[in-house]
This record gives sequence, structure tokens and C-alpha cells, in this order.
Amino acid sequence: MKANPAKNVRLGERTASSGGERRFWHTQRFKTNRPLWLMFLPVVAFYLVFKYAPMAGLVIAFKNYTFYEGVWGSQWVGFDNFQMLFTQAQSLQIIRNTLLLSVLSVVIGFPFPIMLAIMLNEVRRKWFQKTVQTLVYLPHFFSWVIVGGLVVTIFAQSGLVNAMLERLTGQPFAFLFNEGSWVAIFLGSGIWKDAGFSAIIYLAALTSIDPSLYEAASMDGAGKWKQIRHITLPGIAPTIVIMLILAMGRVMEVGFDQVYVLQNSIVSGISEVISTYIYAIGLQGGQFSLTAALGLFESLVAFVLVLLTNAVARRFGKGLW
Amino acid sequence: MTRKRLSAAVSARKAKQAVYAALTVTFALAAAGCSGGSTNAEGEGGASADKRGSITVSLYDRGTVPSSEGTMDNNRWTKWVNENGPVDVKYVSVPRFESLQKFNVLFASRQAPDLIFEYDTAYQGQLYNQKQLMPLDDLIAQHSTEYKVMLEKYPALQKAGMMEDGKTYLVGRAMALTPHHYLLIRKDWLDKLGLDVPKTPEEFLAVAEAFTQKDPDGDGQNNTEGTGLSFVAGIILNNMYGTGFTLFGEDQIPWVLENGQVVHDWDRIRASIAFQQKLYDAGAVDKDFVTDKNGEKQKQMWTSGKLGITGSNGADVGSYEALKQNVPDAEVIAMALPTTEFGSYSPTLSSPVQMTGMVNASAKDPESVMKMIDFMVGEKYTETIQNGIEGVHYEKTEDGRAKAIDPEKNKTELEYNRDMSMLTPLLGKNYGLKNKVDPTPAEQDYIKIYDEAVEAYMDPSRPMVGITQRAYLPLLPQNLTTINTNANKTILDMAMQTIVGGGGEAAVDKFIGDAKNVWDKAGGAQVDEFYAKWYVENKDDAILMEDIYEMGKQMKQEE
Repeated sequence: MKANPAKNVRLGERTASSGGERRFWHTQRFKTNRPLWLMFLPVVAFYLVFKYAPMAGLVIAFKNYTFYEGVWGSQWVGFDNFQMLFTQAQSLQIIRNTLLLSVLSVVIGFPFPIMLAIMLNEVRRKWFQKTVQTLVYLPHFFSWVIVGGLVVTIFAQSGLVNAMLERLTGQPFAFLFNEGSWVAIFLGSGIWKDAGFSAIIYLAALTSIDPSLYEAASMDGAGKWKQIRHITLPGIAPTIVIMLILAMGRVMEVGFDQVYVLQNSIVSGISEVISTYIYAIGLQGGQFSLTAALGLFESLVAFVLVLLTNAVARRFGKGLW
Repeated sequence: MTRKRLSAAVSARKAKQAVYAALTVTFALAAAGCSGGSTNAEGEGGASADKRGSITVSLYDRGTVPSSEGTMDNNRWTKWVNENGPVDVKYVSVPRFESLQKFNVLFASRQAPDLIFEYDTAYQGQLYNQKQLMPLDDLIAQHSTEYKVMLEKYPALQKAGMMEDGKTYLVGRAMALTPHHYLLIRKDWLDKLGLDVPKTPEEFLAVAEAFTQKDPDGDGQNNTEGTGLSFVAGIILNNMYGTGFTLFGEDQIPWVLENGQVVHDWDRIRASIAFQQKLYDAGAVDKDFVTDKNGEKQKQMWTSGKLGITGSNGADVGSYEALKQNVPDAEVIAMALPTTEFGSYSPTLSSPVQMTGMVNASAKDPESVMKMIDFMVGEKYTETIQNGIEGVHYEKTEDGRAKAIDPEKNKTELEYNRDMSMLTPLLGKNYGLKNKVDPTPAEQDYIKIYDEAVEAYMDPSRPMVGITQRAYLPLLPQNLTTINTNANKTILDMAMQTIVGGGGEAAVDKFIGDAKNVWDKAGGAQVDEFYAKWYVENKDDAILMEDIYEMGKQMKQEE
């Protein structure tokens, strides 16, 4: 996602600089790079076939899609699906939940990998650093079904946490049935699962900081804290911005698996999100047009968010394009 | 530049070109390989009678095929079908518990099989609404042999196979009317605490509380639970009050008959939610029953001997065996549902006819599909798929029943093929625990439980709830389906919140008020009207509750 627009931009520049489409194909530069172009071709094909062509299917959001008539033959219904969507009280709640959960995940979850990376970077003993690093990124490789099962069991009223709580206060607490605690568990489990893995990218960025900067700083009397603030953080700032823009693109798509395995009826007021709704109503219930409309809306909002974030980032001279 | 060097350069360029050419060919081949998969063997001249037809058939995959047997779509039984059947069959495996998604994807990509097997009647209706099914009347009249005989023998099949437009779209099978959901209780616990089998909701609550508090398993620890509340147990406790609006499963059917009219019931739901709230408040149920969506946790409690009352889906001998292994003294009986102010009811029985098969509207060779349907109904197929190969997996007893030669061997070689028999009539001498040759001790015990269930649940004076079984209700048009599913989902969540949230009668009243509100706002009145109108217009032709019991009786006589 990140690489592609950039590539396209560069491609465009090149075509323009070599003066016209026709001549470009005969330039020495093109000829010498032919193997590269050839290798690039499958990538283009991949994006065309699997990313761009399916977008045409979005027309069913404006149709009454049936298997019988197919994507193109189905009847046009204009904005009926959207109208139906936005008159249902449920839909508004679902969109609100999606926004709320994802914004919270980004805002609260975002700093954790950075903190983790910096802490790991400051560890002196190599073996300790490697062990911790491996352990914290291990959960990333478990599927959400497993993590969800663990979390639900641990926080159940007959679970581990409540057993301890009962010994302390004599009262169990229904963590999974209370909206506040459910959101906390949702966010916590997301951080636990993915913070370690996301930290890898920051760790890589950290290695590119010139060690002489740290030496100079410590000679000038800067302590660890000052070093982190004035060298480490500015050093990885570009990476942080790119990660933030990418995260904003995902704001509207709370991961399906995580919500689906953790949600329950009691907290449905907060736990029903767009992806789980599309699954239940669209894929299981066969209401493809209605859920395509919802999906299209979701993408639009995400697109606007990406543009906004980039505009903000550009203000600080760190824009992606 | 010397000649030599020049030629070297030329050959180098040639070599490069060759490499490009090779690469291009490779990509082209790869691309062709990708699209090649979709052109499946349909068989060209389907119409010609002498040529062997070729069709595709769906088959559930429950992930139970041992690796030594191959895969669901390629194993000894699929091979047997192709060797012994009238047509070539290519099976398309469909994950059992994600079947709707899979079928939807297959239909959307125009790769759905010619012959489709799916239990979900609502989905069958959806396919009909989407015009994906082929009307079968002419096909059956002109080409069918075996299935035609079945239709004559069981006219209900004809009735149940028809859709709104009066044409036949579904094929199915006859089944003995037997208990399907069981409410099981630990008799040894009752005896130990000096209690009787509960006859009213109040007694039920008292028993559940006693089971929780009085340490019926005698291990000195406070670790027992009164009753299950999730899945089948929850469904049954709703049925007990005469409502078909259940919190688990797919059947949210609140409509009942009152004075010869179909009405949307709220009183029964109210009473049943109030009762379940009391059970929850009393601590007699699993505090986390909401998250136990498919009843697995409840089953675990039951088999480990820590649960007093549970709901069972069919004759679950496996769970009983596990319980007996953990608690050899356990004694289990099937109990009648307590009588409430709304009367006495029974949990779900099996339907006497079950529609399972459909033909894809775009099937290229319907005649061959019909041949396959006939083959699947015929004796050779049904006996082989059910019992295996004679002399290898079973031998016949004197009275014509099948006796397994080596039950262990059958477990690996035979049992995974159950879903190939979706057109096999489930009645007669080879069906059911009772007809089993040499039952194990656990099976013998369960036959006793089965007899109790028959006694308690099969009496028409203690009927199943609702107007008729779900399979025989008319299908809602698409826009009403949307209203119904969306509103019901919200109401269902609210009901769960009421049970868990406590707050007594006031909370339940608030729930009913809110639920009515949701239903009205969503346009539920249209759904109510649809069913009411359907009943008025079709009450003479439709299969209603009395008819089901009548059909059950008939089938019993025929055996």
C-alpha cells in the first residue's frame, strides 16, 4: 500500500522527464532496465487483478444484488441501501462503535511498541534483550481464536482473575459483561498480542541512529532520559509518522477476528462493529447489497482519514506524498 | 571491434532474448494455470441417453475424515459412488459450520454444485428467492424412479418440497418422529437430597438451588451447578413457557396460535426471561452462560459430573459415556418439562420429513442429477453408506439388521460418511439406537433414557411450541427477513442483558417494553401480518402441529 503510490509517482516523473510516451520505450534507460520492468510486471498485474478490478464490484452497493442476475444484471436502486442503513438506529451505533474502538486502539495502542522498542534498546545485556524481544513478539503468531479463548477464560467469572479478586475483595466482577472493562480487555489483549511485533520496525529504525550522537550527548552531560528525548525520539520520528499514517488508514477496520472472538450479547452495545455486522448480515444472511453499502462507507471514511493525517504530517514536513 | 567479439555480443543478446521469452512463457502458463481450475468437468452431451453423465454434488465436511481415508471429496465412499452409481460425481466439500458462507461464495462466483445439500430451511428459501433453484416437477414425473415411489409413499414430502409458486424445488427424506432435544436430570442427585423430579417452575428453581448449594456430589466442595442455561438447555427453558423465541440457536419464533389466530406473543417471553433471571440471581447457573454459545462448557460441566440438569441435542451417547466414566454412580433420566401458567409443552422433536436437497438452476444435465437422487434414495446406496460393505464392515442378522463386524474399524472407515446419506430415510430396522445389534452398556442405558423421552415428549397433549415446526413455516420475503433478523438480534441481546443484569420484575417489564419498541420501529408489524395472513389462507393445506403428530403415527404404523 505504501510502496505502490510512491512507485507510481516516480514512474510518472520518469515518463515525463524522458519526454513523451513514445520515446521512452526506445530510451537506453528503458532498455537497460528491461529485466527490472519485467519483474515489476507481475506486481502491476497483482494490483490490477486483486486490488483494482474488485473495486468494480462495489456497484452492488447501489443495486439490489441477486445471484440470479449477477453483479451487472441486478436492478439499480440508487441510494436505497444507504437510506436503509442510516435510518436503522442499529447502524449508527455500529459505526460509532467501530470508530470508538479503532480510535481507542490507535491512540492507546500506538505508543506501546515505541516504548517497548526504546526500552529494549536501552537494555545492556544482549541475551536478556534477545529473550525478552522473542517472548514479546511471540503472541503475534497466535491466531485470535486462541488468544480470544485464553482471554475469555481468564476474565470469566469463574476465571483466574476473578478467583484472585474474590480472595482479595470477596466479590467477583463480571469483566466481560461490563462495557468499560470489556473495552479495557479488548484494548489490552490487542496490545499484548501485537505490541512486540510492531516494535521490530522501531528497533530497526533505532539501529540507524548514529552512535556518535549518543557519545557526544553523554559527554555534554545528557543523562539517559535526555538522550532518549533529544536523540532517540527525533531519530525515529519519520518512522513513527509513517506508522501513524498507516494506522489511520486502518481506523475504520477494527480487525474482525479480535472483536468476533471477544464479543458477547451483554456488551453488544459497544462490541458490534462494521466487520462483524457484515459477516453476520451479509455473508451469513445473504444481504450483500446492504453490507456492500456499509463497506463502501467504511472505506470512504478511512480514505478521508488518511488524507487528513497526511495533510497534518506534511505541515511538519513529514508527509508521505 | 573484431568479428569474434561481435558474434559474442550477438549471441549474448540472443541468449538474453531467449531468457525473456522463457520468462514470458512461464508467466503466461502460470496465468493459464490459475484460470484453468474454474472450468470444471460438466460433461458435454448430457442429453444423450447412452453417455454417462457427469455432475457435481455438495458434501459437508466436518473435518472428521481420518488422514488414512483421504479427504471428504475423495475417499473410499466417493470412489464407491463413482464405481457403482449411474453418473460420474465430483464432490464439492463445504465446511459444515460455515456452509452458508461457502455456498454464498460458490453461487456468487457461479461455481455452485449441481446438486446441493443443506439442512437450513431458511437458506433453502433464500436460494429460492434468489432464483437459484430448478423446479423439479417435470423432471421427477419424466425421469425419476425411486424418488417418485418415495413421494407416493410419503405425500408430506411433496407438500414440504413445494415453494410459494406451487412448484417442487426440494427433495428430502422421511424420518421417524422421535425426541430431538432432551432435558436430562441427575436422578442420583435428586435421590440423595430427597427431592422429586420438578413439576413446576418453582420446584425447578428449588431443585436447581439445592443442586448448587447442598453439595450433591458429596466431595465437600462448593463446585456444583444447578442447571445449564446455554444452548439446548436455554432453548428448552424457553420452550417450557410455550415460546419459540429462544436465546440460542437460530429459531427466534415468537408467534403462537391464540383463538385460531396467529399473534406475536410477548407474555410467554416475559415469563420465561423472568424465570431465567431468577435462576441466574440464585446462582444456580453458569455466570458466563452468555459466552458459552454452543454449550461446550455446559457439556464439560455435565460430563465431569458437576451439573445437575442439562439439555442434550439428540441421543448423545458420547457425553453419557464420558459422564459414566467420571462418575460411575451417575443416574440420568429424561424429564418432562415443568408445567407453567401457559400449559405443558415439549421440547423439539425431529421433523417427520426433512428437506435436504436442491438442484442448481444452472445445472447442465438435470437428468443425470435426477439419476443421482434416485440412486441416493435406493436401497443399495442407503444400506452401503449407512452400514458399509457387507462382509467387510457388517453382516446381516437373521431378522435383517446390520451387525458391525468390527466397531472400531467402522469408526475410522465408515463414520465420516454420515453426510452422504442426506436422502436416506431415517426409519425402519436399521435406524436408531433401539435397533442396534449388541448395544454397549452405555447404549443400553441410553435406550432407557430414550424411552422416557418418548413417554414425556411425544404426547400431543403436551405439544411442541409454536404454530408448526420451523421447517414448515413459510419463508419471509427478502425485505421482511431483513426486518426480522435485525430486530430479533437486538431483542435477543436485550433479553440476555436482562437475565444477567438482575433487577427483578421491573427490569423484565422494561425489557418487554423496549423489545416491543424495537420490534415496532423496525417494522415488525409487517412480519406479524405476513404470518397471520399466511395462516388464514393456508391453514387447511399447510403442515401444522397436529399434522406432524399424525404423520409420526402413520410412519410408526408402516414400520
